[in-house]
Amino acid sequence: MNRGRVAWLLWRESLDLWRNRRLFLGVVVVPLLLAAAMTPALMVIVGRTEQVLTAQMQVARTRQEVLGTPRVVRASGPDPQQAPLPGLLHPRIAQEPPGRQVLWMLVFFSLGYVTLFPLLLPLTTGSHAIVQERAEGTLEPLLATPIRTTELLVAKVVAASVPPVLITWSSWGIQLAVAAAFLTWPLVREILVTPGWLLVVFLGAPLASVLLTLLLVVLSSRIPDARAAQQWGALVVLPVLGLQMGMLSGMVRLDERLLLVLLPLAVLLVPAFRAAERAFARGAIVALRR
Amino acid sequence: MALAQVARMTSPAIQTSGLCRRFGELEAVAPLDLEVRRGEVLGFLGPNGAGKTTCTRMLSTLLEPTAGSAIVLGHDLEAGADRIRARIGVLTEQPGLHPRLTPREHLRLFAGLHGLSAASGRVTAVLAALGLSDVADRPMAGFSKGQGQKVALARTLLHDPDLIFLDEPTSGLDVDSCRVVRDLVLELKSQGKTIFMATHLMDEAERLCDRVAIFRHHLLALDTPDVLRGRFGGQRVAVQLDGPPPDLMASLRHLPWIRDAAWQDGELMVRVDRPETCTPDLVNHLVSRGARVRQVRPATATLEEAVLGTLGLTPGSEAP
Repeated sequence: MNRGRVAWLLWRESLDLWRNRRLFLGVVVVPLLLAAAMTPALMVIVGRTEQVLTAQMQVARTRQEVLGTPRVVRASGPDPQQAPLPGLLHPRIAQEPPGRQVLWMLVFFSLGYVTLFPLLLPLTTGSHAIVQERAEGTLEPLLATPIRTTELLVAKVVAASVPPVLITWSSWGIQLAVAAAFLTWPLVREILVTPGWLLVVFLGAPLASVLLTLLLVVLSSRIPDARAAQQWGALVVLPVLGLQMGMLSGMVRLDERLLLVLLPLAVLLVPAFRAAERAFARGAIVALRR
Repeated sequence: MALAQVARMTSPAIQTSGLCRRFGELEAVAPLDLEVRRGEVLGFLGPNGAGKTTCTRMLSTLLEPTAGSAIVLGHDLEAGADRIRARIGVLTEQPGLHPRLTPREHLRLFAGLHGLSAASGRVTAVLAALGLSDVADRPMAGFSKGQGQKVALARTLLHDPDLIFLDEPTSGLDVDSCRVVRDLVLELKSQGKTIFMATHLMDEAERLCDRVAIFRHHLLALDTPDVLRGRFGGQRVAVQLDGPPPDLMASLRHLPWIRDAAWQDGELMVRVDRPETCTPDLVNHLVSRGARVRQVRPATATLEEAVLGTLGLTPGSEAP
């Protein structure tokens, strides 16, 4: 493989991402803005009500102790013992004051949103770099040069998956910082800087991003339209949404066992790359443009 | 110098043997046997949808043939595709330019992909040669089609290829841009480059090409424009008449040595096999039918007429 040719293509892809305002806005600005602004804003709003919420719960608990009527308690506000969701997220959260528990739930929802980035963003970058380029006829002049299919594919996959991965890592960092600012860093570290989360962010995100880009390449050999490729590619988000629901319901806990899922996915990279290579061969691409 | 290398340098630029391409049921290119000589400009003529672009793509290694083989610049089309790509330049039907890159960035990219060592110097030289120096650092988004085509041509010629494929190089361009492209083709020809030019513009082919291949899924003819005009257009005699009799055309068509007769720009255009012997008989016949002959002169068919004749079409008719 000629690294020089790959580097030239990456140079062009990065220029294109930087200058394409719509793409840059959708892939870089909006996700970072949401990560940096949405969660803190919600934390501030909920944080202000934290004391009110805690006071309400205290009243409810007192009422329950005095009157012994759980129906009234449930009507006046959530009882930590009757509403087990925060506790299911992590046992330590159940020990936090009720207001803090709500903040923790917000943190988990935001992190769930961030874990979708490696799947949502490559749908845009990948379909732009591969399907859209082919549809616009800019791939054909490239294919007339001595560049090899592998080099072209490596450049495309790196260009389409690196920005989403970097955005995911940055957003995760921002979420940790926000959580630490509104909660306490030792607890944030104990709950969120765990092998499970590190695996998700530093292994799962790149893996998902690359696999999805390769899937888009394979799809693009059958689907000449970028939007259609995005729609089909979006189906892969469903398992991750299922994983998030599992996390929130306490059925799935992120720990070292995640490797049992990620390692087979890593092994899948090789056949996926081979399949993408076949789909990205000159003949296949040009024949589709006939 | 190794014998193989000498053979490669003296062999035809392109030699195909039964090269064909199917898309499902459609046979875009039927088995094709074609030889393109080194240093010649070959016009590949045919109507839209004739398979010219498919053929160009196969010969430029962009599309695999369904069957058959070809030797391009001494290398097998399949086994030596990488070597072929290093020595050919391809102007694709669509210019394929990124609107957010500048011409200089386009050329730097392709110089890098071709592994040019002194990339920047060559880039500047090619930009200047095509009159693009002033706009070299502007994004392509605001460029006219003619300017875009110049950038695409600059990209095609950047690595000084020996064989250049031009697919409809002047399609959609204004008169001035067409002239630039045609001058460039003539310049390349004078440098001894081999040019394979797919076009449906007869005038362009007539002006630029040493030989012309007429193609519609099959190779129908291949020769110089002069020979094709003579062979397929036939020799013609133009006659100016005063007061032609009403049944003249019908009577002419019954004569066995007349292949065709039609009115064209106020003249009677008669196609015959041998004008030198047929012209006196033609004049006699016209006079005998009561026509007053004012002038008789020899006329040759245009390449367009030759091509249309070869394709079995008449001027103004649509391709079947």
